[in-house]
Amino acid sequence: MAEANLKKKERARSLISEYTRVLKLAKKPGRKEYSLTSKVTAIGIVLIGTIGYILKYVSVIIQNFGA
Amino acid sequence: MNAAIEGFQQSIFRFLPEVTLPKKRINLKRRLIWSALMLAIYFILAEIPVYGITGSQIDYFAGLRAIMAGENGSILTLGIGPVVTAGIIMQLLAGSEIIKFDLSSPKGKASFQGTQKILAIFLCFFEAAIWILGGAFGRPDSSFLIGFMIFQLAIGGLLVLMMDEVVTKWGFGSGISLFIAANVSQRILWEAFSFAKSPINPDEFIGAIPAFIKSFIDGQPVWIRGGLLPDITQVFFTLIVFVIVVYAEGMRLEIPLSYGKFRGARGRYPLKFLYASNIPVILAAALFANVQLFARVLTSRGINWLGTFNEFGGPKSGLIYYLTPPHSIEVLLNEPLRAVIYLAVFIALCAMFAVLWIDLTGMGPKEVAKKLQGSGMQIPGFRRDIRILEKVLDRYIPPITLMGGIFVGLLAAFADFTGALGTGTGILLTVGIVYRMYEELAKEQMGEMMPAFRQFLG
Repeated sequence: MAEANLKKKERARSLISEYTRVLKLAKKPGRKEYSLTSKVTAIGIVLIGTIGYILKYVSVIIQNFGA
Repeated sequence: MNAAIEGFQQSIFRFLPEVTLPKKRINLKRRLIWSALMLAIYFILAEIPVYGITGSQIDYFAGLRAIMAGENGSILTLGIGPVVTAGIIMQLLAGSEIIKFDLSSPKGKASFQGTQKILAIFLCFFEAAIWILGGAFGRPDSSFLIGFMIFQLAIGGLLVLMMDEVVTKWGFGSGISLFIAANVSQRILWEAFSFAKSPINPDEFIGAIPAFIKSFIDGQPVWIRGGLLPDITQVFFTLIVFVIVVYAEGMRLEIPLSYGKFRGARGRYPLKFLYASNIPVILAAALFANVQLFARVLTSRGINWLGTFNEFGGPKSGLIYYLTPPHSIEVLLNEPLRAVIYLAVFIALCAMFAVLWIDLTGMGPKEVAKKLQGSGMQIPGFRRDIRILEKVLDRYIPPITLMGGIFVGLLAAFADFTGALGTGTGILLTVGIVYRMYEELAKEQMGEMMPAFRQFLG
């Protein structure tokens, strides 16, 4: 029983080391690429969000008139 | 027999509401205008309340609202629910070959899309009926009112279906993604900056930042407002989640490849680290929402073995109590056990759905190897043989699928626990969507400037 146990632990350890190796291998975004992505997505969210913000504000004003 | 079904299907397809394809290629500017128009209509429809609501409104999509878009209580209460659910069901049917669709032939593809649309239309009415009959908008006594409310929700679902087609055919990008990004972006900006007063206590701003500034000026800055009102700490966590998401979205695993025909040509095949991207979180969250929906239907019949609900419609006990994320730090602190159980179940589900989704949608090592082999790619320094390609991909795809799935689950749970605005899943989805829009825009603009260049871009 202990021997099977050992094998299982061994396989688990090799699996974990394999996964961490793949994780290290993955290319992390460079500073320039990172700043581009974050700027672009931030602008996109603010742009779309502002249209939504304005239309929601208008609807709140209309409802306040109604109430 | 098959011909009869074919004939029957064709006759139905002719009656389906269809957005006609534009005659000639529309230039980019006009397509952006179409998308902006659909965006505005989406926001306006989300503000039109359903006629006939009595008493309190319960949002059955509560945990999922960031993904399902729409606005509870409005015409778009169902958001993209019916359309997305129909898509997932068709994907599973086709992927698991329960129903054979040969997607290669145009006729096969047409019947696949036609069936998907029929399913989506049915789901509009089906989900609307669950909403109203389940008592989400109170229990009006007149059956006419019940029928009319179901009709309004179903129409909302159909409008989303049509608007999605307009965006996909006449506009820019995909309609579903646009509405998800629209809903999340609006929520973030509204909950952060709104000067409107909260209906619950009228002297409080809804927006976290205006409220914080007011409390700051009044002398005692309020960091955590509690209750449903967003606060400055949530804005802070929103930024943290955003920063992490942009970083993870950028992580790639580059497989060195060389092009068989030209000796020197070297290239890299980028595998996104978030390989199954946020599909696992959507499926896990959808599963939880459906379990909760099922529990609601059971409790309204008096059967409580899935769990019970408190008077606000939130889960109080039983299985569903542990399958709903605690939405703020306070709840997290005084109910750690619930948070731990939720986290364990949620992460396990995300990992499982990641692996399942990859197999079902042909992103596994075998299919990707076949695709690369077909386009003449090979691993440099090895013979050009699909088994080698497959072996290399098999070393990388399973780990990043699993790690990506777990990471996405952890991030979504972290954002849910800290109450990040727009929820973790919402931010993850929206960052991915907006960045793909940017890439598409850049590609199209290049295509517009140099038409000859367009074939190369594909």
